[in-house]
Amino acid sequence: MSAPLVLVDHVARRYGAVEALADVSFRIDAPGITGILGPNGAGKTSLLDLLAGLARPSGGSLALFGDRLDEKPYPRRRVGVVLQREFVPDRVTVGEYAELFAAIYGVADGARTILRQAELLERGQLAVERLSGGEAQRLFVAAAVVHAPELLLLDEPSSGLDPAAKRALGDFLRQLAQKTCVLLATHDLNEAERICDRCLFIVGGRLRAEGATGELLASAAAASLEDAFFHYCGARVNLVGDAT
Amino acid sequence: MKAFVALARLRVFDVLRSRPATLAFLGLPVVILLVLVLVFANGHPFEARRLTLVGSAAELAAARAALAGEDGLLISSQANLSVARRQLDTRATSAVLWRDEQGGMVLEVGRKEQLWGRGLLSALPAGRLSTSELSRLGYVQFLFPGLLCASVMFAGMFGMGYAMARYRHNQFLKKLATLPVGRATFVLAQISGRGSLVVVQVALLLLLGVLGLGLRPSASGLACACLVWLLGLFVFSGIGFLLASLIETEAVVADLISALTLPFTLFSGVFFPIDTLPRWLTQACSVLPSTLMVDGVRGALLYDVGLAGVAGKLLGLLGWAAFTFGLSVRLFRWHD
Repeated sequence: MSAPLVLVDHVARRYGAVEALADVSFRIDAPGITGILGPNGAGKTSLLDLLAGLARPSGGSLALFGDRLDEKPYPRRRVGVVLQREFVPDRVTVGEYAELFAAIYGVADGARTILRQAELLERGQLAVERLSGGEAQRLFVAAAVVHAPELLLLDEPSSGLDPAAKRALGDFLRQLAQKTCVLLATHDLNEAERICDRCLFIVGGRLRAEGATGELLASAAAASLEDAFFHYCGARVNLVGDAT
Repeated sequence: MKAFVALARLRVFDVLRSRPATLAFLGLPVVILLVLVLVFANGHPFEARRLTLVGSAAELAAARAALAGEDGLLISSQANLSVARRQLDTRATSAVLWRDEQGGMVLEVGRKEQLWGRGLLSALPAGRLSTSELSRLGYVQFLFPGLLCASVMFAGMFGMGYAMARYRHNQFLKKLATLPVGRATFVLAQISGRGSLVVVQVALLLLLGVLGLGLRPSASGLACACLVWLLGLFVFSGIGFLLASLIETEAVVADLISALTLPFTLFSGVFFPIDTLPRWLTQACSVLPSTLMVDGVRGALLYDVGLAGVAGKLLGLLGWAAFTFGLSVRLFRWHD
């Protein structure tokens, strides 16, 4: 049996007195989209930061591709990351942005690949800040996958997008997920229900439920993922605030 | 009115809620006053006159003894007569005392300084007065290396300090941490990017210096000056990096860089030789990276002192570079 792509084992993360994550464990064995779902402040970004190697756990361990992150150098070339608030350099064109990421990942003709994948081949001369929210998000994702990573981590990629842009981004991610393990943090349960193969429900830093989207719906006898979320996480969860 | 008060209150607390910003805001005028007192406590530095002696240690001691009663006169020695004359031409010294081929002492001054020269000569055991027509732009030539070094200081401190604080604030450094690019690569790329702009700036100023100010640096002098600049750029980038390590907000980093610029300029011999300052201050200032850089570039460009003449400055700058970068690497937070 091959090693899991992602293995999170009893992970905790504290910021001083604040417990952002407590005893979180799960594993992902195959490509597909896994949604990390929970209200704001639930610990989604903390979990992604740990998986992206941006922070260290206060307890427990994480492993990517069979290697523990505290034992081996972080496998940057096998992972792509899109942050919640992506940095856009001032006065940089779409083409230059694509060239920067192609150069960093050392991918020949990578800039063209990024532009093609983001469907921005005709807009290479445009400043990145002039792109629409959906276009910019496509560019960020395309840049993060130019090196064909096995794992893609996305933090709230569709936040602030209009419904059409959200749907287009979802389709784009579904396409990527055929070969890539995508971990997506979101509090948009409708979007998650549409695109996620698996879901993790996190509230107050604790993993309340996990499994294939269909199984979670079936076992909770829920009509929607939102109903399933409330079934597992309790009615005292406020989706736009922290768990109470 | 309520909106006015609320907005004004917001602006006041923007400064007061940050301890470094409050310190910079309230402390900066005090620092400036202190700097001015230290520099000008004994009158302005141009009141002091300097005599450069080209001769042996015994001759220097004899001259010091003979001129002991001359208030405000600084006496220094220089091994090379042509360098001493260039110093006279650029107003780095007021007079040169040297021995001619017949063994007689010659006191050389600028034409406008004849009267002062005669007075000085009367205090010496023997000798004759020689006057020279000094270059009209001599003092501008003296200032020129300081101006070139100021570009490097700004480029280093702003290019690294301000940029790093801004990059951390807008999450560029966090993004960078997710990419397969080393931190050293990033830092060197920042220095090289800004440095390449400084090269163009310095080249343009040098061209103007040669065409308009009559500067005639030798090839070796130019090479030595470039070496000092390069190390100076590293040192001031390191200082900027250190500031960005200690301070979180870019506005406070900018304030602190502005605060540092004044002492770095006044105490580094950009406008006047620092040995006109009180002795303890002169000694402290002589180890400042800005002083090492200005002295090194001035020596290489104006007086053609060669690699041996700037070796001490290069070593000093190397030490500063190691110290600032070493400390920054320990203290710097790449992301929140």
